[in-house]
Amino acid sequence: MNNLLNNRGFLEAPGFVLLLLMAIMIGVQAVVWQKRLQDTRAHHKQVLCLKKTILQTNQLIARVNSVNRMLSAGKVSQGIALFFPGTGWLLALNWEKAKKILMGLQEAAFLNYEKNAIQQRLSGCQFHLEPTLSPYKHKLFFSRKLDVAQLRKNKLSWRQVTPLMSFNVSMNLISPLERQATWRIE
Amino acid sequence: MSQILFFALWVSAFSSLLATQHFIHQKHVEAMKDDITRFETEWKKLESINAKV
Repeated sequence: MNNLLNNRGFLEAPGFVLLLLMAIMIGVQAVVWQKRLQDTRAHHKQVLCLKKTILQTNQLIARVNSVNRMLSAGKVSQGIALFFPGTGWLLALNWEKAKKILMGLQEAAFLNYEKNAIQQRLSGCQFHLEPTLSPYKHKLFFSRKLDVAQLRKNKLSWRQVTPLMSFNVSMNLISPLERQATWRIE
Repeated sequence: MSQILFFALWVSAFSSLLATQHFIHQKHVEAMKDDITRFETEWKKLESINAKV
């Protein structure tokens, strides 16, 4: 035994192997942590994307709803104005123009939403909502035909998958007319 | 004496490895904390905008 221990260089080979193994382990650890960090970043990004999507959809709903209220108020007041000849009739005639402007505002809100959705998709967000939420038939260029199926749609759900988690997201409009959304993320 | 030197050599070799490991760990933790603070600020910003809608 004493002879073996006194032998010069008896630990060199196993020692070298041990050092090499430890160096490899540290390298692997660094790579694994880097991967984990990337996953966490991707997860955070997707969660923020979802938050932003919810925000933008709520904004769209609020805008469309407010314009709808204006439209219905205008329709009622136009009806009342018809009973007053003179200024009332002038107002009633101008209401058609005002209605067109309001409808244009609504369409602008939809288009802005679509633009935001496409921007989000281009920046790497998983965006499962239809980018064309507008009630107009798409794939029909230069025409504004209302899509009744799109109007009646009041439920949307999808699975949001991130590298760390996956959860169900569902949006429910209380009624197609009220257009107030409830969101469930589970 | 040579045995003591030999032991010191081993200790220095392993301690450098451990130091590297600790350095990587520290960097990882710092990056994670940084990410979390950035995520929280973004989240709060979106919350504040959402509250206005």
